[in-house]
Amino acid sequence: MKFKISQKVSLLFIALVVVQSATLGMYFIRYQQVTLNKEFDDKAKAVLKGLAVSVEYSLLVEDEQTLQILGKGVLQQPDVIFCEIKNKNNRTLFEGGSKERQYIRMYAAPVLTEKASNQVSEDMFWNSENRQMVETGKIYLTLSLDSLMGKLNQAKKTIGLLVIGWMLISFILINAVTKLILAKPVNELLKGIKTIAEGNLDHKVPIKTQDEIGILATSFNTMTEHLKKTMNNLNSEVADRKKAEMSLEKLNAELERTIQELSRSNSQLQDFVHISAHDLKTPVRGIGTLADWIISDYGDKLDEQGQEQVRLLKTRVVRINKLIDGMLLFSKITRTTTNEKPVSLNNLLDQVIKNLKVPDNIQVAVNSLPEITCDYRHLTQLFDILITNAITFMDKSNGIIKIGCVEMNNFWKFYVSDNGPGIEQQYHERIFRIFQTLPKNEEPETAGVGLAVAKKIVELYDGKIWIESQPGKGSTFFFTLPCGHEELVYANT
Amino acid sequence: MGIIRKNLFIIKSGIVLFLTLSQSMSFAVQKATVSVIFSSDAEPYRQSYDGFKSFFDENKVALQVFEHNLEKENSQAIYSGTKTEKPDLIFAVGTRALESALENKTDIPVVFSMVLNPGTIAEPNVCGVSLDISAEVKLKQFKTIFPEKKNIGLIYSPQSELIYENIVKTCKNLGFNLVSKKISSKTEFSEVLESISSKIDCFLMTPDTDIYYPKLVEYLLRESLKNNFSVIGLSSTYVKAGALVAFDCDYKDIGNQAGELALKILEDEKPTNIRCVGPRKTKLSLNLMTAKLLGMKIPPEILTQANEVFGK
Repeated sequence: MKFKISQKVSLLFIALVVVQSATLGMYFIRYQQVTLNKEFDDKAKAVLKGLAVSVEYSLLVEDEQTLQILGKGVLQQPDVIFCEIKNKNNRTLFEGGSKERQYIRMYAAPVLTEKASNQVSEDMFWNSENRQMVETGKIYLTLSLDSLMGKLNQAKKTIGLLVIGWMLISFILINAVTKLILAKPVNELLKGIKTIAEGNLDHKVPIKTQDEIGILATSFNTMTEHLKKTMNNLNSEVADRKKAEMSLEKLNAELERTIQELSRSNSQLQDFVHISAHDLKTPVRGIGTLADWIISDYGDKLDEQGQEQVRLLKTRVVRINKLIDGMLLFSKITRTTTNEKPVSLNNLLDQVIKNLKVPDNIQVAVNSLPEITCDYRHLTQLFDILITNAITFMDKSNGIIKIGCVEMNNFWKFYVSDNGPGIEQQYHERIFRIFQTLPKNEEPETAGVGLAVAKKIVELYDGKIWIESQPGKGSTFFFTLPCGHEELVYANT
Repeated sequence: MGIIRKNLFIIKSGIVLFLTLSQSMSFAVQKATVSVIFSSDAEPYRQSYDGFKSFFDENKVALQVFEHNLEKENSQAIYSGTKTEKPDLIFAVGTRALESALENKTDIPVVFSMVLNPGTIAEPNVCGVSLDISAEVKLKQFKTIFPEKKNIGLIYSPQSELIYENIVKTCKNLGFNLVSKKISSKTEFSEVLESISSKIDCFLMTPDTDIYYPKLVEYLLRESLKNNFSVIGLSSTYVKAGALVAFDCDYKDIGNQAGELALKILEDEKPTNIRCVGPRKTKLSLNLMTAKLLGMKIPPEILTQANEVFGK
């Protein structure tokens, strides 16, 4: 059940009035009870005292006839329903009336008479101060409480009616006053708020009072003004933002198209490279075979220069083959998440080193390596390329190759170092490009694909690869790989 | 013969000398120490004591007095105090003072006053003046004032039986017709009074505390007016309340009387030789209003004789 605030206030006041009226009613009833009881008691005591005085002599001389008259006289008094007079030996000298009523109250009083303090004294000759009151008997009165109860009930009814009347008047007054000073202004305020809530920010709440509701209405009007201004600003901002969003959507669509085009181009390029490499390989192999046939069939007929040229042709065919293999290898390097599993790099390195057949003059030291989630073949290829390079270019009689890793913030930093010839600073970038080789005197015959493949593998995992080297002292290849729990975005799958 | 005459002369001279000496010794009392014991602070006791003292003053006997009050002091404490006071005599004022003297037996002579019905006192060192005015005195005076009243009513109890016997004799001697009834309890009083009220002209009250409760006295006085008989009260207090006449004691004179007895004892007379005596003076009290209500006329010469007249 929902109550309005004015109804709640009215209910609170009504509750207070009910409690107050009930308390006052109880108090007045109690007061009436006490007063009527006291009046009744006083009246009864007066009757009792009067009787005690009247019967003093008769009781002293035990004049039962007079006591009868006095006793019957008392029974004529209102409410007196029973009377008993006893002498000091507790013998009943008079008994009259009946106690058979529902509500009664009993009273008793001694009957006293004056007597000289000393019986054999000469005090009786003069007005002695030493006289005392002696008890000569007792009187008992029983009074009916019917009239008292009647008066009390009447008083209760009257007070009850007054209280109910007072409560009704109070309810009407409270209702009228709360409506006037609370319900009406609050309703006007609510009406205004509803109108504004429906969107009519031009509406003004009428202000008629200077109290809290008036202040609230003023504040509400001020707030509506601010809101109106803010809404206008907001609307213009929203319009601007919508325009920007539309532009952004256009750009995103264009970007999407571009990515799709790039992806398609990349795929086509890969296909082209792959197909080209395969298509080139057959004629190159034929040229090589032809060069072999020339040497075997016409080797003795060719002069030395001819033989040298055929050998040169053969060498070039081999190199073309290597370039094609390298191209194929490079184009095949792609990332497939389904092949990624936790790989123990220590085991992987053992296998790589075993397959490489490291010469006796070179010592390979591997520090403790972590377990990372990756494609086993990629990491095998990566370490194979870096260690093969170190072995291939080693110029020292006791070569040392060190492999290890350091944990950085969110990635592993691996290194493969050697004490080989080192590489000039100017070639540090170039060596990672495909088909780029060092000058002839600095490098054995290679295709210039290995480090490019290594870079491609590292970058597939969002890592970086670089070299630090001092010519004559050796080189260290660093690469980073994520710690394994990050979600990676793959360029190609 | 000459020797006999000589001896007789010596004996006569000796007797004269003894008598002269004893006479001169008896008047030699010039000062005395007296312990006075009051029963209460009641004014009549004080009046009696004043009479006692004034007697000694008149006889130029200087008294050293130690006053005690039984309402304020313990009886035993008073009598143990007399050992240090060493009085020549104890003056007991009132019944309770006499009773305490009889309870605390002492060798010191005791003279009492203001005692109602002292009865026969066996103690040899005790004598005094009672409050009892004899019925003879009262009835004689009553007869003088109201000679036409012949029927005297009386109600008595065992307590006042002796007084009753005395009244019977007196009435016989003075020619009164006594209508009397004995009651054993005060409850019988109204019934008995009713039975005799039509036969009497006058009702004689006796000092009987078993009968005369204030309320009964009030009833008696009311009935006297209703049934047209007069009441001879015990004292002026009763006359003031409605009795026609009372022959009261002069309390100061009672004290004076007691002083005489005391002086005799101080002059070496033994208390056993002194009888308990009644008051020698009476005071007449009359109520004119009661007389009027009873339809009686009191002669003017009687009124002049009266000590107190109420209801003028």
